[in-house]
Amino acid sequence: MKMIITPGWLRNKIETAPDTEIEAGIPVMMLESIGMFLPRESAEEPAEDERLVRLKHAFGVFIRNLRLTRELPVEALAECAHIDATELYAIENDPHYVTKPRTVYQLANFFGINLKKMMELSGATQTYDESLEEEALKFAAKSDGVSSLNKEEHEILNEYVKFLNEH
Amino acid sequence: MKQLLGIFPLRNLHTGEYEDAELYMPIDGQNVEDFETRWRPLLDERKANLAPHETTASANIQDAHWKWREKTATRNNRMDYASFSVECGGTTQGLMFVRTIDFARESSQLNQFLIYVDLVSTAPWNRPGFTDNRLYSGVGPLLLGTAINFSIDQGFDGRIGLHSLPQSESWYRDQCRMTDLGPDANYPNNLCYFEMTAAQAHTYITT
Repeated sequence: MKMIITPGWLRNKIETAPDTEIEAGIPVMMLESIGMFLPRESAEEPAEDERLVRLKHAFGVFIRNLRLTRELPVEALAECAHIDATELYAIENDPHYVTKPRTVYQLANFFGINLKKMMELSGATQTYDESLEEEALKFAAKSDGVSSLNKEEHEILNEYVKFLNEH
Repeated sequence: MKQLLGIFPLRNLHTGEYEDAELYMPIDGQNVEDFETRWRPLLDERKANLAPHETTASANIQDAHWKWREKTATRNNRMDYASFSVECGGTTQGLMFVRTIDFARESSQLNQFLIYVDLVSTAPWNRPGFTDNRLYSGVGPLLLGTAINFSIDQGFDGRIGLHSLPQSESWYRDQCRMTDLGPDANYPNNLCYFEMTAAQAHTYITT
């Protein structure tokens, strides 16, 4: 993160603003532990398990096929959905890529897909929904990675969109 | 992996001198340990020694506990959360957890992206309401400035939102010039919801 605030700015705040309470959100007195906030790499579980990689692979295939149905090059979809083309390329091709939640929102909005399911599929939020994973893997397995979709692949894609939006 | 975002001055109120504090993202096991071994005992002691007039407040705490438990379901392994810590004098002086995507409620920026501050807190020994012999000044402004900085970094123009605890409302309203959208019936304890617009954020980090 590029820092904009400076030490001089903070010193000025300390010297000009009265000190007071700043507590907001969840009161820490209520927390049993803050360990729940430990990020992925600090958690006890492996940084990235195979299951998550498979889900993210399916997410990449899903986004690519949605893009192909609209006959949009990567750059054009990125422009339409107001996201970064480099990130879109990474989503489609790198199952280890960590997609930003904002990007998932923009894509879900553009394609009219259930946001919660998209967040889970992208790995942005956790899911314990086994059927989501199962259907995602089936969908990815049926897609052959070509640059255009045939009739059968269109049908598979439509069925999967229906599953995500109605599940 | 824990990343040092910058070195910032905090004023040691015991000596009157400024000391270098480190701002990190995200939190790590050491912050958790500091919370458990240094913050927690003081917080528990405070809870156990509530004044007689605070008995009702204590009862409310118990009542609200279940709601908070639901709200604080596991956050780790989630990509839509980010965390920050301020370390100085060999321990954790402040913590902040933010949701990296949420939507504005204030009319001039309705439904635009913002950073939602899920929790911001300073160590008990830095709080005016906790002790008359506070140690460091500046942790709160540093964390709020960091939330605004993070919002700008994410492309959200500095927009942030948060639910203030009652004792902090005047700071967010009068010092930070955030917009007070009133009590939120959908939040535990009906805490007041505050939002900072892009213009308010710009003013906060440039003055």
